Amino acid sequence: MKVKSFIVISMVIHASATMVVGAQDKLCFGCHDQKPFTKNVVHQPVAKGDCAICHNPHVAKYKGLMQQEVDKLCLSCHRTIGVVTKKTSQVHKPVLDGQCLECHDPHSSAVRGLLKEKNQKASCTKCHSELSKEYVYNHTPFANGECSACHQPHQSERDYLLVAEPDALCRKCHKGTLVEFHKNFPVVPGACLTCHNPHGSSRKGLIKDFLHEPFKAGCDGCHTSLGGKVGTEKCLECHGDIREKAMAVHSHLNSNTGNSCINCHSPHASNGEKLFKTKLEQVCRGCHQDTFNNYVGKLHNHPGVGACASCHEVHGSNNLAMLKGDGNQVCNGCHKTQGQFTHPVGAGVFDPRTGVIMTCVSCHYPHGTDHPFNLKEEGSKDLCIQCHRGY
Amino acid sequence: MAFCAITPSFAEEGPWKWQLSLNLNTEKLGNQMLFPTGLYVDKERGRYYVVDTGNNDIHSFDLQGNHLNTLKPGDQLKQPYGMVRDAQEVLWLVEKGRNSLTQIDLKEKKIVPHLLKSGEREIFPDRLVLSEGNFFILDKMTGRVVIFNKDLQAVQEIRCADGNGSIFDFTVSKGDIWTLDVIGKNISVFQPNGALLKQIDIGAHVSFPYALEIGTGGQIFVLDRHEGSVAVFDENGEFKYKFLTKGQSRGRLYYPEDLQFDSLGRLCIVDSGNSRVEIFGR
Repeated sequence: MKVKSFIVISMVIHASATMVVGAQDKLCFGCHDQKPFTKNVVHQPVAKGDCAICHNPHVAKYKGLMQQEVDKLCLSCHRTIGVVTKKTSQVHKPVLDGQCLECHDPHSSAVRGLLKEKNQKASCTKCHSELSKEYVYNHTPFANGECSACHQPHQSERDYLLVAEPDALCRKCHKGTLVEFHKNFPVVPGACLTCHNPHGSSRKGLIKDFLHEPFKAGCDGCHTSLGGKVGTEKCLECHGDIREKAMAVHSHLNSNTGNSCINCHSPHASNGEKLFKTKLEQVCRGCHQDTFNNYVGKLHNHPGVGACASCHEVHGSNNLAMLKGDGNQVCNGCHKTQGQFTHPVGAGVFDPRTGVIMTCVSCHYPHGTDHPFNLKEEGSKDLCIQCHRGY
Repeated sequence: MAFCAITPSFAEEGPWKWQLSLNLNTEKLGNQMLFPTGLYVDKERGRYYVVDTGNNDIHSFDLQGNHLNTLKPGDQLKQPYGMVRDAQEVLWLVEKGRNSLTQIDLKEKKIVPHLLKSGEREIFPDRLVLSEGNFFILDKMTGRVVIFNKDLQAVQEIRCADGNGSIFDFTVSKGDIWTLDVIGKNISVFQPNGALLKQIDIGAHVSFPYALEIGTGGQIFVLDRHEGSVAVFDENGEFKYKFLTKGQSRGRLYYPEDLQFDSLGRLCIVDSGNSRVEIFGR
């Protein structure tokens, strides 16, 4: 008898709980229009009617009655997003900033991946607007809006968030045509991106728009032997003005392959007239990912912080951090009055911590910090008392 | 931790304690050292020689940090970077501005810049070590360590174990050459004949490894230029601990350039951004 009572009571409790759980979405859709939640691709918690996994039905600290901040909520299930294995790995900025909803609809979407926009390309070009242009010749995956054919949307161990190393990625589709389409080449070509724009170009064969003059004329101008590598000295034969900069205290001479120039420049073709391999910011990130990690995600960033060559002498410099001048000269190029009416800086003003002349970078970290004006420490006390200890 | 942040007259150093600074700081004139890049520790005489590339001179200090002398050889150095002293008391200086290994004989008052070549290739000298009469020079053009004999003939080249890496610093310890690849974030150890002995991956513990040194106990000390820290590994490459942080206060580092041990086992760090050499002891 007791056992029977126990079984009946348990069944009633279970039924009640099921009714509560299963009734969530019915309760919610009593007020909330169900149509936006029933597109082709439905987020799993929505499909199961588990609205309360994400939303608090009564009161919440976060907008949209979210149980937690959006990114923490998403990552509580999607645990591999944004997780990197190497310090050189890159995380897509919206992921780093926890802005999942920049790209994704959390309820349902017409498009795979719960994308907000009509397709991948529309989603990506919301930020990468320079890619929304039409090229004369378009790479097929790009034309079809299939960005994920080549790029990881969240994080990657590779530059440009690629799914594989560039040449290997190209050969996934372009199998067996390499030699056929590169007739008269002295060697089997590699380093596809030194010549080809993977999105599109005004030139046939997706050759990048700007050609290195010797490349335009043929291979012999630089390659003096069949398949021969070209050293930095060859580049300096024409670009002699760079030699003096390469002899500076700190320079970007550093290549084991024998040619430091091609660390940053394409010797064949490029999308820009300075023949960078890609956007300058991306070129610098190739080696200085740690510098970018230090300021990306900070509350305050210097406007145009990705334009590294604005402040840094990229070939070589006798100044600290390869700057174009000392810590005042560089900043005064744009901030013409700051050193004149604010905290004393310059000749005769010494940093009591080191005895060196006070400059802008005595107090500011010009890439970005969590403090207003890119100050190194909080500006109402912590920074000041490092020097003004008597107060 | 919070106290350290607002009263930064000392820094967190782990087992290492700040002991003294080599600088030319005076109240009236500020720090007259501009941009130190190199340090030579004369263990026999108990002297430090700090190469100040910003002022094109060399400053000497004693073991207590007292400034002894400023050398401006011929008033004509051009971006001196690093130096060593040989058994005949001749100074050998890497002069970046001349792309030379410059020989300075103070007794004879002779200064001779040598332009170095390996085969037909001009060398762009960077880091410099003198070991058993041979000059080990980092060639910035190729990222390789080139070994020159006493007649300045290139006899051997050491290159990065990984094809696309680049040696940024090296040291010679018990005859072996320990190299630091800043791009690959690893340390490779070579025999003098160029044979690779081992490779150590340090990427998980450093951001921008810029210099390395081997301690007396065989531990590996790696200076991180951007973090202003030193990461310590055992001789097998296992990470042990990290100490120091970025900043301007005493004991903190700002774009440090190099590190070495002195005759007392103290760790000397060329703190370029703060125009000083910071010395730490256990």
